[in-house]
Amino acid sequence: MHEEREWAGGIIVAKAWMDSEFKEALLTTGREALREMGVHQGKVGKLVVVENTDKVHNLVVCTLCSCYPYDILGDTPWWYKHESYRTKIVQNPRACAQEMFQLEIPAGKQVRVYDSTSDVRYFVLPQRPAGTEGMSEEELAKLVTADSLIGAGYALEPDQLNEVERTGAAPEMPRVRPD
Amino acid sequence: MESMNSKFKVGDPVVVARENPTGNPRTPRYIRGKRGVVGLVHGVLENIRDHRGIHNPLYTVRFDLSEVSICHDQDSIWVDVHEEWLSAIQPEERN
Repeated sequence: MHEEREWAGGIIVAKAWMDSEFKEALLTTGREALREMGVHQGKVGKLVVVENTDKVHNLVVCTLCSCYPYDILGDTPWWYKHESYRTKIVQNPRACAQEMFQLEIPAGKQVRVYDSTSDVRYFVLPQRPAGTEGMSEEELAKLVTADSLIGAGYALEPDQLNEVERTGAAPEMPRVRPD
Repeated sequence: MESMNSKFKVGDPVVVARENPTGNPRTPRYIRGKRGVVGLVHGVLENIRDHRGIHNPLYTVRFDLSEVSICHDQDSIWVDVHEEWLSAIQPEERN
């Protein structure tokens, strides 16, 4: 049996949504902020966390291989390693996000794609969804998906989470078409 | 190397070498010969998992999407590049 540990992605993001001082530290010091928070992590490169806002939508890729902060976030999503994603996201990010993730990035938002080459590992701090006022940190953590930490999705809205919990699983999206 | 200090600072316009200047080979092909602006300065990072030695200072360089692909919008690609791949250039004059 491997040690059961709560997925760090949700806990980190929820804390950043609730605690602006922690958020600032996370965005400026990366691993140091996580160390202070007590998050289990290895030494897989420098960590840079980039924040999604009303004006900027960040996405992460590793076009050379599949660099990912797995020592913090666990298993790398399979599509992140797929050649199709790694090629298309730097050629036409908006079309790629639309095609693979049904993600329409509003025209008024700037897209920034971070291409990691091993020394720095990135993840995205997603925006806090509407309708989550009054939710506890614990509840907020459940809204955070692995995809949203790459910029391939948004954090779930509360009713989307209800749907996921009711049906038992998130609907599988096409992601990468075999071509 | 001359020193461990970073040669470029945030906002400096740079161009990426076309050929591998015998340094860290991990520079994606699509940015070779392309112009960008230094976005983040990381300095010398230790990466014992992936490198045999210590490499030159690392930067995250911002490229307009239009510089590296056929898309023409306000979007950008930010790529990690080691110092030996970069040369300073004059800021582009815009009309």
